[in-house]
Amino acid sequence: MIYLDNAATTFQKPEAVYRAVLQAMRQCASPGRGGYAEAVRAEETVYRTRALASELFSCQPEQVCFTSCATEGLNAAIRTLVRPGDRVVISGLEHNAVTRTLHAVGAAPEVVTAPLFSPDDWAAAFDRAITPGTAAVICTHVSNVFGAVLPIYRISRICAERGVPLIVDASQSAGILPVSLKRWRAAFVAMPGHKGLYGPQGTGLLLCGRQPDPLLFGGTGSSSADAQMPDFLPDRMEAGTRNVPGIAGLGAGLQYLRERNLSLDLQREQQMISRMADGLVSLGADVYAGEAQAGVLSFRIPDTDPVEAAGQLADSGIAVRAGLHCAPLAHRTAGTFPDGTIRVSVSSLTVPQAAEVFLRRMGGLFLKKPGAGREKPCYFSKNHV
Amino acid sequence: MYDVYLIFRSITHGQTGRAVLRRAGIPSALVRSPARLSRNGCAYALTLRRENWPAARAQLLEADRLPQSVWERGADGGFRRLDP
Repeated sequence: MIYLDNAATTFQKPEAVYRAVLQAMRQCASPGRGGYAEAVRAEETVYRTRALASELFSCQPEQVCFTSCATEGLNAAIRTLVRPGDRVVISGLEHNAVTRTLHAVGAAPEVVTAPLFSPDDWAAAFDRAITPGTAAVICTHVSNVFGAVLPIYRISRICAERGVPLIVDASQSAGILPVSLKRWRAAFVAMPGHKGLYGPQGTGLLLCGRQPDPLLFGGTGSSSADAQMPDFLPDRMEAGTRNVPGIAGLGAGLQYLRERNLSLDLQREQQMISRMADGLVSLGADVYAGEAQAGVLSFRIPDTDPVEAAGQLADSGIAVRAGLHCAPLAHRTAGTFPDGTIRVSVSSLTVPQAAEVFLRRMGGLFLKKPGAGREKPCYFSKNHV
Repeated sequence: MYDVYLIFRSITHGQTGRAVLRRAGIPSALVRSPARLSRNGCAYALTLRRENWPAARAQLLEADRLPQSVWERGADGGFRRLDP
């Protein structure tokens, strides 16, 4: 299989991640609940991951709260800051994790749009929309559909000047682009653990720049005599037994990132995306590509259903995602609603040959001469399982 | 023998405090707080030697990581509160 669905999850992980998960399952008991060796080991495992995350994202360890996914973090952030009827400014590229939560809360989102790959236009559009009466600004750092990079730092400056709290969805940027709670002065930054951070599924982080309201209530291993949840982080947001094997794997993923040159990785991923974009254009596809783009690329094949096309690619050994990508708003913004697009996305473990094989298969299946032969599925990962 | 107990409400706060002391070369151990020192339920204690407390205090103050309370264990096993 050639895996090009890293925006969904980095299916291929560094070997150390698999080892860490297994080791934690064998050696760790419940963290923060006991003084025996297995409980202490669990506590140390959790803290090591928390400390690594705090270094990578420029915050204090206690500002790093473990969640089960980015969606959980976004729910907590939004439910902390937004009340029914509130005016909330969001980008037109937001995921359902944001839009459905706002709908559930009963907020009134004002959707900001701009040309996909034009950071200046995005910044200007947010500048026009954010007023002192805005309850919150919610913005994705990188579009999960198009890979467009939004100018979060500039948006954060506008928010800070106008006293409006900022929530950042870093689902597609954490571990790939610089993400900094301190520099952005964000109220909250939410991210999954299983994408650019290479942890297992079922892990995520919520970075807290302010006191959040908990989504879950229960035991924390602290201040146990109180009826209320603790008023201090991270305990306030971590009721119940945490996913220690997942957190251990996430820690191994963070350690992997710490030992890499992230800007070189990004450059390499952008080169692969650029190569695939050029190749698809030459094959006659409609391609959504631009300068400010991370390792995600969307395209459409004229007169072809994207989901059926992705199915054919899957049959030929290429893993991509097609449809609306849980982000109908982004497709409305780009004019690709309701059919959606086909999306390819890479990671630091994607090898450049994968792009070449993908383009050959695309040509053979859809965009070259009808009836062109398929090639046999093969692996091009450095680290496949 | 570790005879000073620095009480933290959260294990994460205790672990962060321990990291501060470790960087300063001050030995300490993180344990669950004795129940009589944490009347509000579970808490955590960084334990260290009495003679290291002034240096530890300076380091924790510098890092804005002072504990909730500080106790010294006496020869009789009882605890005496120190100024954090």
